[in-house]
Amino acid sequence: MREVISINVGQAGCQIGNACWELYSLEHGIRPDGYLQEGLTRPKGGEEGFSTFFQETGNGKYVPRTVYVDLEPNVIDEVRTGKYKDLFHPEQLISGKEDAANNYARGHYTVGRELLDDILDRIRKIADQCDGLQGFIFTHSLGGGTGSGLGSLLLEQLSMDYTKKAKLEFAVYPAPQVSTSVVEPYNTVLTTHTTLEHADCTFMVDNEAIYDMCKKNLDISRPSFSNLNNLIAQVVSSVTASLRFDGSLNVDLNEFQTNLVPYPRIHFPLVSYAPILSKNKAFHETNSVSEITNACFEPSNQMVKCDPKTGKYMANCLLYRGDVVTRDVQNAVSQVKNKKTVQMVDWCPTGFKIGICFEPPHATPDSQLAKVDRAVCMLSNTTAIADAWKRIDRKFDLMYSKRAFVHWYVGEGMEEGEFTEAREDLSNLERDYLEVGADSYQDEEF
Amino acid sequence: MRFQVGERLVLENEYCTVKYYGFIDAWPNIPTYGIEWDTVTRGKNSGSLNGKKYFSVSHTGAGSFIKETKLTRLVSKRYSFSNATKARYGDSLKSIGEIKFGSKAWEGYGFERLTERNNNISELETVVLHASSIYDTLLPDTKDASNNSEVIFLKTYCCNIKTLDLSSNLFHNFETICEIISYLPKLKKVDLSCNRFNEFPNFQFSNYNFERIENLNLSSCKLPQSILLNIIESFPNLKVLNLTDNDISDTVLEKINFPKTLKSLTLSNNLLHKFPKIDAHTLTNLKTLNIPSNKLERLDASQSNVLQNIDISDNKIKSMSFLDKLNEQFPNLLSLRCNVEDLFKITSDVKSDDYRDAKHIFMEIIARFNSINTLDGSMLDNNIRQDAELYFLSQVQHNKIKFPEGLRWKELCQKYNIKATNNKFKLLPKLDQSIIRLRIASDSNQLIKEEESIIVLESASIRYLKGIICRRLNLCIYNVDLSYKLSTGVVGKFDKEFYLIRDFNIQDNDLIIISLKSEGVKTK
Repeated sequence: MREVISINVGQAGCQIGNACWELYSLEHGIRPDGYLQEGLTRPKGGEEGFSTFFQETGNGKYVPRTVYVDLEPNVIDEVRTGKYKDLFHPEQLISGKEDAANNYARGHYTVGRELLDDILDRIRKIADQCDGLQGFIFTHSLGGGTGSGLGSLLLEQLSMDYTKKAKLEFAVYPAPQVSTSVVEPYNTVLTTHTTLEHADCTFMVDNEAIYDMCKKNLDISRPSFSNLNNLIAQVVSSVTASLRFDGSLNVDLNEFQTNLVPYPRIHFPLVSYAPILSKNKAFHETNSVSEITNACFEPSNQMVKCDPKTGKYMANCLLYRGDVVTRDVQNAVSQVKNKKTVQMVDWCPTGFKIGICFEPPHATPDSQLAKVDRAVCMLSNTTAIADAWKRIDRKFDLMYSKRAFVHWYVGEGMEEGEFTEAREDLSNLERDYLEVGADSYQDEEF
Repeated sequence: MRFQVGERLVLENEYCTVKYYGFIDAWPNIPTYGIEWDTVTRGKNSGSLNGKKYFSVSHTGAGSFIKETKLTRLVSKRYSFSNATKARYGDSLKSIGEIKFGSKAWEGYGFERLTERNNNISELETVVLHASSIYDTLLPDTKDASNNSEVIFLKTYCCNIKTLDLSSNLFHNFETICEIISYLPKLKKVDLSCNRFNEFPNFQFSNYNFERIENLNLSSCKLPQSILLNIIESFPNLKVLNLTDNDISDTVLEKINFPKTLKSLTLSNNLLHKFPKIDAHTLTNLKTLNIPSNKLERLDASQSNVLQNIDISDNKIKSMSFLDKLNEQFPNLLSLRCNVEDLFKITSDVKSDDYRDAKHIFMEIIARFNSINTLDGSMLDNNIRQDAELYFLSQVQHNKIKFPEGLRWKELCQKYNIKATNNKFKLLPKLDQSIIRLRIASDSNQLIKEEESIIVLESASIRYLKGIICRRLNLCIYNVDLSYKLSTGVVGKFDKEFYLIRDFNIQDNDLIIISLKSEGVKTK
């Protein structure tokens, strides 16, 4: 009844999509060819939860409700020939012939636009097969050309075509460690500006944070993109777990927004996940509920590099998965309560919302993550995340003050004015965050 | 209450084993316990006091003497299996309650259902009783009693358990475990890590045979050899076995008769010097073998086409030949963890040339293996593999890395079309085809007396061709025009300087004619 369509755009989007669907299939008991695992009569997760992400075809096969889009064929060809090739319908995989060359303008105006009608058609087809579509989940990068350009174009279009449907984003925030181009700050600022009013809720995933987790927590000396994507998929899966499995918090996409987004523009919750443990360390850790809860407040478990101690929380959701008992949660929460560093804004009446999903997290065979009995994912709307915007704005300014690389964008038919416009919008966003973090009343004592 | 020698206790959150009960010379009238702590540093002696030995410890300095009165005061309450299970899952707490955060309330959703679900113990598939202070209550003398409450609990409430975690508890008799498992018909996975089991001569392992258990974790149990061998005999269908931190030596390992079905074996933190033997008789189906933090330095004849994942990080491997052997003996290896950074420390001691940092060794190791796709956790794609192999070939070519001309070398040479003789390279045959020989003549005999020949790539530009001709003839490039005469008889002029030679259909032995421009002057 509450279907969600996942749209994966660009190289990063598609690769994360792959990792996600591999995980989803495992969690719901579906084999790589789309049929049920041996010994199951129904997919795991309950009828309601399960059908949000998978569609059942007549012959007992299950097909993901998803579309893969990329402007060049390489990445999607890997899906077409990979282990999960039979899971998808060929129509769900859309690739062009000419890539976006890390250029937002190519993705958004020239090359991307040619594919647009085709993509919207396919999305329409999938949407038509839903009884009650509740929304879309976008996965894309902010730094790449396709992810930023075509991603924002699609989001714009869908926001026109499906006005009332929720649109969530998982956006990969660029990092110098695994950078592929110098113009990432341009693409990031431009796409953020375009999508700011169209996306309802954006979960950012900072490649730098993920990279550090891979190195420190998972003992991967040289994390590759596949390693990063695997970890991101685990996080995406734990955020969407509440939609896919019967539970009581965030059963639909709108509830995400209502809980987490106090103002339409302040829609970038910070995601934390624990435990992130490598297979060889798992034996030494106990992972009690209070341990993983505390870990969520550590910067090393956050998906974006920022310091929540300096900011204030506006909203907060804790989603537990797997084997937990009520008393453990109660104890863990009382410990958090005593943390001096957790500050809430004074104008928001609610504190923390806590939800439960009974299904424990899984780990794909390739992944370096250990299989654990329980995990927790925290979604918090904190003003500290404005750091991320400050960082990218500074990088943007460094280049744009010299108008470096701007000609690539203008050459594709973009107007230079869009740069200044986008940059101004982001300055406003930074200011918005300052404003919501300020106390609404003046202290009477100094 | 009096504790038996061998029983396990928790005193102020420290685990210990009772080793002695009686009087000691220092306190002649006070009943005293001698105990061994699990945390060695917590101990004060090794079971001897003033030269007299009361008990022996397995780790020097882990023992203490403690007055009975103090021990009874400090000892934490111990539970039976049923009580611990009921305490954790039978809790009737329906919500997280009224927790305020300043003026803001915490809201829990779904906890009523969670509690309801957990209360229904007989439906639970996973039961985690980590560190729940459970001790042996199902001892042999009481088990026969049909009205034993533990047995009744196990029979009525635990029939659906598939995964049971009993780690860090106070069991000391493995028979208790056997009893518990025998009442759980669906059990597949048991975690018994961090329990200490003692030897009980009366206990017959042969009475038990747990064919349904597939996954067994015995890490940090410090199992005595006899118990270890017996336990593994009683689980004939294990697929996953974890024996981390059990002081297993090479000789003990050879005695273990691993089940044929075993797919994953973990032996980290033991005392192994030799790589475990894997062949057609032992560990035939093993896919994953983890032996980090041992003292591995030798790899004897082992052979398996099934083994896919190996972890040998933090060992004493001294040379790359160890890794080469791994590649030869396990041709279908997919994932290797050897901690390149640490490996480097060792190899750099041995070899004087320290030009190779960890990154280079990383690439080198990739190239030495023909099939791995994950090294130290990093997933490798084909591009990285190709880079690594080409790098490796060039290093061998320049004699910076010594590599025997084995099977792997032949594979590499074949893959990159290299004729390998004594590790020296010949021109790529492919290159041969793209080279053309051209004859050069001039339109007037002033420039060249006789026809000369020149070798160029057909993909070179006209500009380049002109350049080398001019250099040979000592001419200025601006004063020369080139034209061509094909074997087919076509004659033409090279008018586009940046076109490639092959664009003009030129083939071997075609004639290139040089002519001076009108104002041509010979330059130096």
